[in-house]
Amino acid sequence: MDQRHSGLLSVFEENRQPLLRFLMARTRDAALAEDLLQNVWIKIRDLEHAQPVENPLAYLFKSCENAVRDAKRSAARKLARETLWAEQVDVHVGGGQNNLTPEKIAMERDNLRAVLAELEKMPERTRAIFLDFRLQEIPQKEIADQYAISISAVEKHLQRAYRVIREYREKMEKDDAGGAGP
Amino acid sequence: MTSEPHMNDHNPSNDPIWEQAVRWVLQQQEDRMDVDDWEAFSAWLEQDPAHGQCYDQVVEADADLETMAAKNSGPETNPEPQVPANTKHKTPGAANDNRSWWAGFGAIAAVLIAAIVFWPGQSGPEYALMETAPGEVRTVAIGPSITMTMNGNSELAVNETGKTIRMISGEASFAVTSDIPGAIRVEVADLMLVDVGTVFNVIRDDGEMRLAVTDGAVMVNPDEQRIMVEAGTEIRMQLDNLSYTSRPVSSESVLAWQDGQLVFENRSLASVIADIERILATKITVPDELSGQRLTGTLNLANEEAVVMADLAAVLEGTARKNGDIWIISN
Repeated sequence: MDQRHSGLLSVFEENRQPLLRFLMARTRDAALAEDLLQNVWIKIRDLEHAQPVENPLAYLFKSCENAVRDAKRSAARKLARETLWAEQVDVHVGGGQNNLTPEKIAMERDNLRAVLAELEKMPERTRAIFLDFRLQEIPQKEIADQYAISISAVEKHLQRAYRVIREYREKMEKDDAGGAGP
Repeated sequence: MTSEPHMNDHNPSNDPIWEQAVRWVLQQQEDRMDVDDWEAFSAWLEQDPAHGQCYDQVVEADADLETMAAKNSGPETNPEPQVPANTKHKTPGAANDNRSWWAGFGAIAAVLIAAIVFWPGQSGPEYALMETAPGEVRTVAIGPSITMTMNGNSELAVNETGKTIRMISGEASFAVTSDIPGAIRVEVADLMLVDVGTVFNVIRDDGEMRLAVTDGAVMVNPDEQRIMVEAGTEIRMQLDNLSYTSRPVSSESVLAWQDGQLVFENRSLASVIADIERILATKITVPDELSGQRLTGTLNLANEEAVVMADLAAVLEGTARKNGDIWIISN
């Protein structure tokens, strides 16, 4: 057995409590938390790693967070994201319709399109900073240096990008609640 | 006064809980979460159920933002893709380019994809070389959300940070648990495969690539031909001119090799033999009169090589013997 991966397993065993505490706090569902922890353990047991894991416990927390995100993810929204991205396709090979209801996916897709339109209205610099951070994965500190602004100013720009989405989603929910009434 | 207890909920521009939730997401995004941070995050979540609900919303918003960016990375939205020949995207002058980058949200993303192709990673790409012995099946984690399984006699280079795999030879399957398109990129010669929420299998053989998708979809060459291969489909593509054929496949037969099985449904004998030769790194000859035959069946490749050859010969109603390094099937 590979040493790297048996190392990760023993770190897991030693830190079962904090990991479970995190999953409990994150899901507020004891049974789900236990299940997810078990899934993470199985994954670690079965896998070797392409490269050594630098900080094993932080890696395990991150794995737990990913497991939660997977479990909570809305299938319709996931598919809407995928298919929206996939619209720019020159050739489609194979594939039938997906089995989620087309209405739900179409609705999510329209929502995403509308969010994009909202993002287009963002101030120039906010967009640029967001793209640097999220797409180019440039750390906030480097962005701050590049633009000669403070790190907290960089964060304000990033906060604004997330807020655009939130405000839009909230508006949509309100409209839905109003429009779908009997 | 007490009739408006949740003012902040309706005023997102001033909501400390939301802002803190964004901060947690940003911090994870930057890979800056150490163990103390995770514990502080746990404590924050425990304080109030509203914290977790808010955080979930930020996670969804984050996926939306990234999807937007990924969607607009195509050449269509970007009439003059500025694929940089010699500029690094982190040069100080880059800030001045932001205006044109945003023009359609596209050029920068095109740069991103180009960046991965031409300079995979910023501080020197670190590729770990991974090889399997003939007949060996091996499963490897690439970061927390990608699982790669390598078939026997395969060679791949893995850049874990950049989530980029270079397929040198052989076969591997990739299972991605992320709803962001582009969580993994697989390079096969000059081809680039990008996942769209996916389980897929790639074989690199002499001059051709076989890509089979069992879940989600895979985009081939997102910055050029943009061919979307959907679940239940295999394409066989020539690496020199990118011509290809496609056929429907079942996920069971595509991934059966992970359990040591080679499953073939109405396949030509020549292609079945090519698979066995590739996985076991061996040579097989069959009589000419059999080579046009089509086969359906299963072989257990986890067995001893001699047993595999005897099984193959049995399917062909012949016998197998070894002559030097070559297996000869005769009837």
